[in-house]
Amino acid sequence: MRTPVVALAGSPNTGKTALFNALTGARQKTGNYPGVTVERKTGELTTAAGRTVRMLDLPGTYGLTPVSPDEQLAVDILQDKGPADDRVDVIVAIADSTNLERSLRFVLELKHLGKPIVVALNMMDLAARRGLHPDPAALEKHLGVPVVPTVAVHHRRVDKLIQAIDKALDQPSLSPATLPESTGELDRLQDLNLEVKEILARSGVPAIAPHTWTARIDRILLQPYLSGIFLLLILFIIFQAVFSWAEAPMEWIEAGIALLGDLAGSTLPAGKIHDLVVDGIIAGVGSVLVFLPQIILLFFFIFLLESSGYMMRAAWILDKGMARIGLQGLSLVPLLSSFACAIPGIMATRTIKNPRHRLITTLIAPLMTCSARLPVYVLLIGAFIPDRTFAGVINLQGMVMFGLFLAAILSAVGVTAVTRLVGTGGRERAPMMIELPTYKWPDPRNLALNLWQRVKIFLNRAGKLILLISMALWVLSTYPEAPDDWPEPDITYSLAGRIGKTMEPVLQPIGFDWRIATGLIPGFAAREVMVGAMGTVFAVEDAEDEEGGMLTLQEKMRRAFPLATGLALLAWYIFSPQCLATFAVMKRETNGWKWPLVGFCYMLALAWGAAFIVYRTTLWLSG
Amino acid sequence: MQKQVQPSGAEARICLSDLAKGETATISGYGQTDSDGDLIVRRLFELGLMPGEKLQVAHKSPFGGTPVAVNVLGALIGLSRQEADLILVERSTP
Repeated sequence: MRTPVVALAGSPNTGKTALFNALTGARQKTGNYPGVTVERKTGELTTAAGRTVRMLDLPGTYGLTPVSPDEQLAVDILQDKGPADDRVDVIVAIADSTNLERSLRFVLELKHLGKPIVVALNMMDLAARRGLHPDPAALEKHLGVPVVPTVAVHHRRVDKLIQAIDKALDQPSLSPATLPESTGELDRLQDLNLEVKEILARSGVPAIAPHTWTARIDRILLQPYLSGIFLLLILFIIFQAVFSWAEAPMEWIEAGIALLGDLAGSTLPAGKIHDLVVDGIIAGVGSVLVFLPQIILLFFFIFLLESSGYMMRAAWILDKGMARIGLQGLSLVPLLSSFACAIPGIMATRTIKNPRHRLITTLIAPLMTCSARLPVYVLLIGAFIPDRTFAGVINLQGMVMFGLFLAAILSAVGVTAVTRLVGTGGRERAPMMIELPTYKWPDPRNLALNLWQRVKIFLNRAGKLILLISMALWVLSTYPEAPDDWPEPDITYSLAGRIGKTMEPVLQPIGFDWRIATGLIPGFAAREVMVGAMGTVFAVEDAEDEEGGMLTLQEKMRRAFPLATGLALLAWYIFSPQCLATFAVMKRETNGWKWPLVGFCYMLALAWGAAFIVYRTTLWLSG
Repeated sequence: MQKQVQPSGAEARICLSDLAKGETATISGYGQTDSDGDLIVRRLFELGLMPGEKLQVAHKSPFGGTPVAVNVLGALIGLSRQEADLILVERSTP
């Protein structure tokens, strides 16, 4: 027998996802709807009657008149026009008890679809705290459908909802109410609005009480002249926390990976399998796992910003500035995520409804200084920039690091400006019509579940890709094997080394020789692998030249390359399209190879151009 | 959108962006829209910005007056210039 499907429908900010979590717990699956990049969330629920039900968390919509792909999908599913698997048997319509005047209109629209329906009066606790006590029984009488009070963030109080779902499943579908032919969409919405007011008056629900705390906090955070400064301050604190708190766990993971590498290294018999596992898989996948703490922390803060209600305000504050450069306020979230890693950043572009802005945000996300660039920056800055302090506080190395971040942001602005000249289709100026929700305390249980899901998605999508790419690149830099009497480092005999030498003429104008070129190739798995690869190239090559003791990689590089090459390499790394996983995700999110290819080419061109300018200028300045 | 009511009387065609911070008004209709306008008006309706509803300007950018944030139907809605220009209002007499 077919498992019955229960769809959760409701507007954003009604606690829909929290209710979904309360109903299904960890029994959830996330994926995509076929053919579109709209997240499909399903979960299982066993009712008191022992029935297994499939819960469907529909994308949040404000009504049955969709304006974006995810809303279109939700509406299609509710009208049985969606995927056959998702034929809805019962609708759970979520209403925000703190604002019934607003949320009951959608409930009425859903009621007219003719399917068995249960209304969840969510956030009853918040309503009570604000002196609102909507009477479920009275509402049930006047709405004509079952109404159940719920408090989704506390798992108790969903039992009644489950009972009501059970009862609704036994009901046959009614034929949908027919709307009078002549009424247009807007008149219908207006009529429904009046109907809601009438129902509320008859049910004795008091008028909306304004949330005084929200208004008070907004008086400070949305203060006309200071709002931008508060936003910057909040972002600054987040960045500080992400980088400083992640330091220790990153070291633990590094140590763990090293331990695993040693363990595998000593247990596996020497040979190609040994090298593939240790140098290819463990080193490659490990180099990405290391960034997990930063990614988790960044997501933690993004969750706080989103669930507290501030994120939409940040989008509101930024909208005008972002519009001026050709984006919109909502681009903030994906770009912010991209500072940890562009992969979750690109996946987060789904919140942007305007297709043009979504595409541009996807294309510039890899320009943000992701954490994989940091080890490379640390290596190069340590090697080429003197550790000098000016005026007691300004450290030259720190300044250069800051400059690299700034250059990335400015170049993203520049690239966006250029996209305005090149039409990519779609509407240029996106409307901003967003609800700025009341401030709420984030719920720890939802926080934990949310983080767990995001980490799982990241590891699943990125992990598999990185595993494949690491293996492929290991093969490239190992085969063909060098004969015993090969005078140079083994890697130069491999395909990667040969590609490096072939590429040398192209890279010579920007000051790179075959050694850097060879290091860049494994860097395509993940940027920071370049550090290890340079280690390999130099360790072997310079071994004989050294008489007294080992030199660090930084010292070796300083001796081998002029300052101009070092600076050019830094400039290269601001732009270099050196993480194939990013482009694989870009392909998935844009449904084709066209845009990842465009992204790859423009970044490569910028990287070469920037390195060329920096190299030539430095040479010219240093005479 | 042509059939939406146009404001009549001396103080005709005031739009939301003309209101000062703190002012209250009643939505009277929508101005001229382009081809995408229907979609915008539909979304504005869904957000509660329908003719007949009262609104109050809660926040207004000091730089050029937009974006604005208005209280309507018990929620705070953020709008940019083009939407604020589109919404026609009648000032509430204090």
